[in-house]
Amino acid sequence: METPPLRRLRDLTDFEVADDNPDVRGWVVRGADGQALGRVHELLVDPAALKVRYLDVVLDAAFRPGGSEGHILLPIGVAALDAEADNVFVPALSAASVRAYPPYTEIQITRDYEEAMLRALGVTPAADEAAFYERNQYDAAAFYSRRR
Amino acid sequence: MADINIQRKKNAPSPWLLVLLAVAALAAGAYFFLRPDPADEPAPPAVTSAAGALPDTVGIRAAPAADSLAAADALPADSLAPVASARRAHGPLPETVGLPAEADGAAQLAAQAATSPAAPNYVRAGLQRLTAVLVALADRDDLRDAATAEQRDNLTSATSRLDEPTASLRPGLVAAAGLVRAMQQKAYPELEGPATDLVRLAGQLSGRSATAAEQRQNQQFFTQAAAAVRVLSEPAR
Repeated sequence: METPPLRRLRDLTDFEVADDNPDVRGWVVRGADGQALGRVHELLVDPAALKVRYLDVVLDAAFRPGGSEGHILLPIGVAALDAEADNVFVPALSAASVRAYPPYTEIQITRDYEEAMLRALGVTPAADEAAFYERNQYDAAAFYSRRR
Repeated sequence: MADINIQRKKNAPSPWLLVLLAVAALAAGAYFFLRPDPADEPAPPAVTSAAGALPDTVGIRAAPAADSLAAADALPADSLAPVASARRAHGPLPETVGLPAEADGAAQLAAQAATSPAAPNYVRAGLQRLTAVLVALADRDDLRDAATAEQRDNLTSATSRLDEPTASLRPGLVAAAGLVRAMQQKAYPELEGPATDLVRLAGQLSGRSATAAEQRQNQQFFTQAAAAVRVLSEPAR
């Protein structure tokens, strides 16, 4: 199964975040210790499935690798939502581990790249291509169920 | 599996449509607020075009208002205009009597003259109206002097008994013509010819309206008198 084409939501002029779903773009992304790591820059979506797959996060200057713009992709299921304070918590990341996170430079997302992300998050990539997005890391219900 | 879902954007009205609606609403509002109030529109002229031409012997420049006469039978022969009845007093009239009111009097005189000369009170009513107008004119600052005052007194004296059915009307007609000439000599040199004609015509009147000739002469007199009053009602040059 080929990687489904992912698009930036802002590039899809006919689409928007569904009703009763918060638009988390601009929210602060915090690590396990609560330290701010960056902000949600964009949503990468699967237009065919009408689902958000990744959060495009721009890291704060302190966490950017030298010379890069400091973007990383986070699977939607690895984060927890704090709607009251507009925070996105990522328990699997910290100030130390985020520096080793594979950067995102808006290239086509390949399965290899996705597997590299999962490994950086401490998750073993699935062998079944068909069930790749059925894991918890892409479960938006888990994303919103961790609301504080 | 629950997800953050996306959806197709709902159809929203074009912003340009909203702009057009707003512009249309503003235009409608401006139209209703800025249009002239119908109550402020000028009223149509009080009198219509003349039913008949004035006699050729009346060589007087007619004022624009005087070119319009009411219908011949619009006013009864014995009706009196409010201005005529108000000015029958022999004393001086208030200084506030201005030219516009006199112009109205001239129009009423012309309308009166245009009525049927065969009416029973045609001459009496015409003389009463003419007397009121001439007395008011004679009290104008620019026309008041010894000569006009004398003629004015003659007129008021000659018409003091107009209410009596047996009173002769000829003295009043003659006195009215005399007052017109006095005012003409005071400030209206261009009116000399018509004023002289008016005096001559008044001398020929009997004061009665029994025959067709008398009626014709009476109407001619009042028509010429109305034309003279029209000119006298305008500011003297």
